[in-house]
Amino acid sequence: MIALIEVPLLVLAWLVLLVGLIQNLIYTSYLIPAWRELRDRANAHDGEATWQALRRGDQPPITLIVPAYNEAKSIVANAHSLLSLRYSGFQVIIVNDGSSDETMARLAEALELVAIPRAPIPGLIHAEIRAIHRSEIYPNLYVVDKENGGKADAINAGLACTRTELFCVIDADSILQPEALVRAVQPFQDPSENVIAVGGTVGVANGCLVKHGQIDQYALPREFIARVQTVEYTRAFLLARLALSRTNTLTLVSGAFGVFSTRVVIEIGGFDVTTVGEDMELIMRLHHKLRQAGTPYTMRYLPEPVCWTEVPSTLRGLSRQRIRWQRGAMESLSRHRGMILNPRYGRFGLMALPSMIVIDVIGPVVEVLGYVLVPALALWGILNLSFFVAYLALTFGFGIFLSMASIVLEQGSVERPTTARQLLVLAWTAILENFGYRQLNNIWRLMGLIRHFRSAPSQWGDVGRTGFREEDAGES
Amino acid sequence: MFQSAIISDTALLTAIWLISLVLACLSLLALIILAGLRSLRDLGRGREQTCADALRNDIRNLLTSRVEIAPAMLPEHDRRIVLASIDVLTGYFRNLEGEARQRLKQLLAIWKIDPALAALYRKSPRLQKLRILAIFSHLDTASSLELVRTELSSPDEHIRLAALRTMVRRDPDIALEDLVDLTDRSGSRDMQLLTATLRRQGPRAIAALEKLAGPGATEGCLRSALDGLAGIGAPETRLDLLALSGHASPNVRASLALLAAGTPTPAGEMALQRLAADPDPAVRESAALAIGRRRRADLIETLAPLMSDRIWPVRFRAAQALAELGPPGRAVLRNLPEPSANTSRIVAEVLYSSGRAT
Repeated sequence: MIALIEVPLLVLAWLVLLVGLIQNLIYTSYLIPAWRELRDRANAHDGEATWQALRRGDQPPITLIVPAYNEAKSIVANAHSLLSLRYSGFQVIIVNDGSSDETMARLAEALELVAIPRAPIPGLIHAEIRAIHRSEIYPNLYVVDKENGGKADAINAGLACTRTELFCVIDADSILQPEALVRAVQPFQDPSENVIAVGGTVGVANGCLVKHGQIDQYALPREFIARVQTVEYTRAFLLARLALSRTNTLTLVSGAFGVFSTRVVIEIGGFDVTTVGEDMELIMRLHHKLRQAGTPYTMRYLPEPVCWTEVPSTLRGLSRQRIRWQRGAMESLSRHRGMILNPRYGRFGLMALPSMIVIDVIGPVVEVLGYVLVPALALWGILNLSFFVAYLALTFGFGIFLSMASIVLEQGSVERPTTARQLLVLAWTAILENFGYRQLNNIWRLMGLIRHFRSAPSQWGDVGRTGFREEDAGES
Repeated sequence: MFQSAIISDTALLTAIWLISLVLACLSLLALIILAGLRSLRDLGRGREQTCADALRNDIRNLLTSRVEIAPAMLPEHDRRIVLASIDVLTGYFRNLEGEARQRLKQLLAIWKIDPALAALYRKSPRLQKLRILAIFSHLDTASSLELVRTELSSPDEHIRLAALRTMVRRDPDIALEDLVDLTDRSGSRDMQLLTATLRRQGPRAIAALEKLAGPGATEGCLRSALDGLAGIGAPETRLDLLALSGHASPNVRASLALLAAGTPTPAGEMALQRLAADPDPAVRESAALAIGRRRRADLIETLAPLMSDRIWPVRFRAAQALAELGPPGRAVLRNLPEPSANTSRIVAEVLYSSGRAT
């Protein structure tokens, strides 16, 4: 009788171990293409191209779409920060997504807005546009005032008013490095490739000193919750995205900072307003439609352009964000499930999506199951010591290895202002991450999965940001 | 059999924990080493920074004075000064123009910095070589030119193309057409930098760019060359525009539009008309844009049908182009036969933007 219970539990325990092993092998397999990509980029004399682009001033015109909802406190300062970017010929479209605070009034007052006629591009789903304004002070700044409809809806409204061949989506509370945009558009200027989307690195700005709308002094966040996200972001960007970019199988261009070809995004109907993971869904739809049509295309991730953002520094805010991310990933996967293991979609369908399923769908379930099952079975005496040690080593040892490897990759290849002391703090954080934070994160992901399958309505939650550390508090 | 299964299980489990722990320890060690190197680098950077600051001060003082004196620190004194000078000089050459740039060149000749840079060049990694070549493109010394000439036959394409760019900038009498033979027409980023450099040479680069666009050019190279020719303006180009308007790649056809619009020959006009009726909307859009940008009022008839194109961006670009063509174009916009609501909004926007709303 006991054997009857033991055998399935033993099989389950082995399954937990094997899935963990596969997950870690997938991540480890990202190391080589990521390293190769960084090595090639280091040799590509990118600085010369950036400088020439700045000097020539012939960068393709670009529109920065900034969706804003209840950002009255910071929207004017953020608009000024965006207007100071080093780029020739850019427009900024701030989309007031039916804010209930004074966002619109502040913009109108500070930027001297006047209503203008503008024909929104048809075919994009968005809530009604009340009016389109242009600043009398900054002729390249537009404000679209619309009914509330959510982030994707706001981006679509901004996109409908875009007149440039490229557009960049950026969060209202993010800070772009001055040359980030010039670097991000360079792949689009390469005539040998049909580049349709470029994503850049998103850096954690908590703790950094902000002066005149720019990062003046880099520092690691003081709070552990925010600091651990620095390690997480490094792992996500420098390992996974860089490797996927090399094989043209990117599954995500971050909604906080991404540059897209206007024509291609409009052709596929813009952003999906029915999902909370609109950034991932767009990338999957682009793969889906373009591969179906047989159109050659490239999506790139560049490690150098950096967009600084404030990450949640409370558990409550972080849990909301992670649950939302998980739901977004699940919604995107289920909408494009037809591509999974379908040879018609090439490496994206055969490799990138199955890997995503192992990591994002099976991963959290199995990992949470393992936290309960393995220690319990070891205590019960069903699992021997070597299994228990192997499980712990695989979970924590590999976790530490992957975090350290991505930090080494980043610091060794991309110019970052990190000091030796900060590196050691990051290393310590990467070790601590595995004890408590990682488990919590997996529980939130599991909750996201459950909510997705229970079809609870998707919503944006306040992630509890506190604002950047400004040199002069009065400036914000 | 059961025994062997247990043994293989144990072997697998041991391998898992052993590999995991070894990898974790190795990566931790790598990070600690990196932190050590970083602190050494920061220390070195501090010294380099001091050299760079001193060099900047010297340059600033000498640029504002009329006296030609050597700076306190001469390049041959210290390798760190040479290293720091790469950054400093790159920055100055990027930002200085005209007389100030000329003065800096004279000062560098007095300082004899190029032998020090040339010595460093030979031991440098590729990225540093490229930066030194960029500095050499601003110098007038014979020794630096000699080094650049040697690099024209470098097996490394990045270096070769950088040397080519330097040669184009330094020698106004150089036969650009011959230099083009040294490229592999790959359409790479460095190749684009070369076409951009050629473009800055003006009409004397037309033949070289036409050669780049000739048989054997990749799509990327062809597009770069067409963009370069359009940028210079080559109304008498020898390229067969009509044949190119039928090129298989829509990207090439789109790049051709601006060149064709700047070529007032029957072939150019026919090519443009063909592009305006292209099955690819991006090509039609480019054609409309090109007609507007080149102010080809004689081609109003080509633009008018595009106002009823089923693709919105084509209609928008055609409206923009018509507005740019002056009163005859705006008259067409105002008198569109039965425009849709959206087309009317486009016309309103375009007329407003061109400042001629009535």
